[in-house]
Amino acid sequence: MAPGNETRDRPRVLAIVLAKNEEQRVGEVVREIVDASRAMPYSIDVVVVDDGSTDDTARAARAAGAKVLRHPVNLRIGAAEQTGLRWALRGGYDAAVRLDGDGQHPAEGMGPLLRAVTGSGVDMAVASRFLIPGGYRSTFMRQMGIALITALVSLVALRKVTDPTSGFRAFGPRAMRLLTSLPASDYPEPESIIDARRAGLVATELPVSFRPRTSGKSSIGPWGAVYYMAKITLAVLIAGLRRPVVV
Amino acid sequence: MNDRIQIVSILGSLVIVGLVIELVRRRKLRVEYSILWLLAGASLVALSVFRDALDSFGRLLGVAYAPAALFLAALVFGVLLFIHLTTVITRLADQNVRLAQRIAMLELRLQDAEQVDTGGDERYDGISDAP
Repeated sequence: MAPGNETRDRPRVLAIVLAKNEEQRVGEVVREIVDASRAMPYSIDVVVVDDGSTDDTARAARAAGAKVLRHPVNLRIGAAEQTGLRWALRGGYDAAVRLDGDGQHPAEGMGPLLRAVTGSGVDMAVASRFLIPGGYRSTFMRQMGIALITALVSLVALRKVTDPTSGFRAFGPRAMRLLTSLPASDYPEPESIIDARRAGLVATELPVSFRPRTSGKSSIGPWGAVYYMAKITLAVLIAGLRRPVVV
Repeated sequence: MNDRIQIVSILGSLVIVGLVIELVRRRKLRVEYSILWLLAGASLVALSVFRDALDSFGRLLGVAYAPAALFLAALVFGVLLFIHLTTVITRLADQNVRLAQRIAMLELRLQDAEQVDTGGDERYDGISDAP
């Protein structure tokens, strides 16, 4: 347990992997993070938040060397992110980085995100697929939806945001405190950009290309998409009306 | 309005009040949530006893047909109650999330502590839901 001299002054980072029924992929995701972290100037621990899986996600994650926080029931993605952040705060980590358990977020992308939130005054760094030409391809409807949300978030945040639905992001201590002090939100990504901005936090975007989903489906089906758009729109608009939270 | 309907109304209203009190007595309904229902029940009792009250109420609102004023009042009460109930559900859902998050963290801490004690039990798989 005793860290060597070299690791002692490295920032301690918690990599939070969100997984639900990802027994096939989560182990590889964890191993990739561990491998990538060797070349980074951080001491990175990996925790997998198992959001009510019915398969062997927890076992696979543990076998790959991660700690596992298991939700006894499915609480959805916002609460899963928050559980990871609570664990990071509790463990006194200097920063946290969130990756999805399906392998869409390449672990090398953690480097620039973590560099931003450790020491350069940035509280939240979001990996943007759209700052890279051809960095993201998807269905027309999905792109349209993302474009709409992007326009809305940019409008409410009063600044240009390119990828508000990206879940690949790093958090500094202030962002961790902010996001754990609010009730967990369903589909939290666009809303939390507004929350962060209104709380006076510094959020930034960095170019990172995502991998295409290799297997598995989006968690959002056709009817879910309608609900998703309505929910996000309302959440972002109302987030703009709230009194800023002080952290 | 004849006497018979007045008696039926009074009895009906009293039954509602009695039902609410009985539910509170059996702890099927919390006192704080019974207050609204008791107020509504008491209003019904009052309207049944004082026959002219409904007509006065209708005139007050400018409603020509007094019973329509009663329907309006009931509808408004129902809508407000549903809004109140959804805020209660929201609070319960938020508390549920906090509890489940806390369980997840306690479970991992417990697991870590047990591994230190036993030198590591690879098969430990959290607190199983299985009987």
